[in-house]
Order: sequence, then structure tokens, then C-alpha cells
Amino acid sequence: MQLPIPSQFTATEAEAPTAGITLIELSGQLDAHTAPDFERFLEERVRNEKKAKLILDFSALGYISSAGLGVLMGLIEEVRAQSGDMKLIKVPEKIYHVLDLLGFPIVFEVLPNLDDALVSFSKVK
Amino acid sequence: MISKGEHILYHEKIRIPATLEELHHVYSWAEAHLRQSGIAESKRFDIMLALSEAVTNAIRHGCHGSHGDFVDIEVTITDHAVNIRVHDCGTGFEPEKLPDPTTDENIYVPSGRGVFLIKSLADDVRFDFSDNGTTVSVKFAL
Repeated sequence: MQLPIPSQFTATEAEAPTAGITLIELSGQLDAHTAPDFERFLEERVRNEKKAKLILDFSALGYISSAGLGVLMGLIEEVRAQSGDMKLIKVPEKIYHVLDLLGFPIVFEVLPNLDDALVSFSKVK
Repeated sequence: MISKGEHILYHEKIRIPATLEELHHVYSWAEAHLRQSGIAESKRFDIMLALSEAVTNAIRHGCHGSHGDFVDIEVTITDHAVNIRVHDCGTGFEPEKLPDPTTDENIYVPSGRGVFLIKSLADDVRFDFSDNGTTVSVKFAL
């Protein structure tokens, strides 16, 4: 059977909206195959570059499986230990439903847009 | 899992090598048929997610990521439901003993959400364990 060309996942560090805050834009399909690349991408920023205040833009993310969500959960405590946090913005409704089923909104702040995330970070002492 | 009186609109089985690189091919194959069958986008999303979790578990835990093994996937679309069956050669597990990943003690654990997610999204989930391997059957009512 001739199969279609598979789609891709990308994580891109966008221009910093505010000093000390890192905006990461996700797109494509984040699953068990692409999650290890995403994990390395985040670890590079958190562990090597010591970027701990992260905003993840989900607006172009078509799909996320439990493996992709596990990457976020696996790093959140490390980020907070560095006085940082991970905030999720522009989460499509269908993906929010999955986050909600798994209890992620208890752990992660899920916000409508970038401005809300920046305000939220500014309130942290 | 197909009830009496249901009319089969589409049925196909594929066999894939037990590697995670195959996941995107499975999505393309299944998504095309779900779309052609006129299934709404929100329902397609849930079906694809459950399929992804089931195939990932088959590759990782059933076949232990072993090259040379295969995973069999069967999709049947009727006028009432979408039925998915994923078969691997593994010895199986005890679904009732899997921890709830949403509890306080488990929520920070990076893994262990796949079966919970399948059960949460689907209308019916069955696990069959035999000498031939493990089969997960997932049903989404339309």
C-alpha cells in the first residue's frame, strides 16, 4: 500500500516577548514518535540554557498524545525548582478536553493568549 | 463489537512493523478513511488519539520495540460505530491494576496515561489476552 507522506512536528523558539521569558511555538503532531525530540528540545532550554519561564503556544498543534503530555509533566517540577513555570496558551478545544481528562489544568496554568501568560508571570514574586 | 443490524461501510486491516516511525503512516491511513466516511472532526480527533495510544502501547509494551515484530490494525466503520482492533504478540497486562494517572500520587508521573485515555474517550474498550498475543478492541459510537 502506498502511504501518504507523514506529517511533522516542530517546536520553535519564538522571539522573546519579555526578557527572561521564553516563548515556544508547537505545531504538527506530538506523539510517541516525536516526543523524544520535543523532550530534548525542552531539556536543552531548561537544563543547559537555564530558561525556566516558558510559555508554550499550542495554537498550531494538531494533535498531542499521552507521550507528548508526559514530556511536559516530566519537566514541570524541574522548571519550578528553578523558580520558573510552564504556561500553556491558545490550546485548541479538542486538546484542552484531553488535558482536562488527565487533570493537567490542576498542574499547568492554561491561558487564552500570550498577554495573559505574561501578566501571570509578572504576578509571580 | 459489531452489533446485529449494523451495516459495514468500510473495513480494512493493515500490518505495520513494530516501530514508532510507523505511527504517522497509521494516522494518514486511518484519518483518510474516517474523513471519507463523513465522521465529524471532533470525533475523528478522539478516534485518532485512541488509535495512537493503542498502537503505541502495542509497539512499546507488546512488542517491546523489537524490530522484526509486527502490529496488526483493523478498522471497521459501520453506520453506527467505528471499531478499532490492535493486535500485538505480547503477553498482555492486567488493565484493572493500572494506576489512575489523575490522582495526587500519580499526576506528576510522566508515563502511564495511554490506557486511561483510551477508556476515557471510547464508548467501549476490551482487552483479550491469548497465546497468540494481546488484542485491544475500541468502539466509538457515531
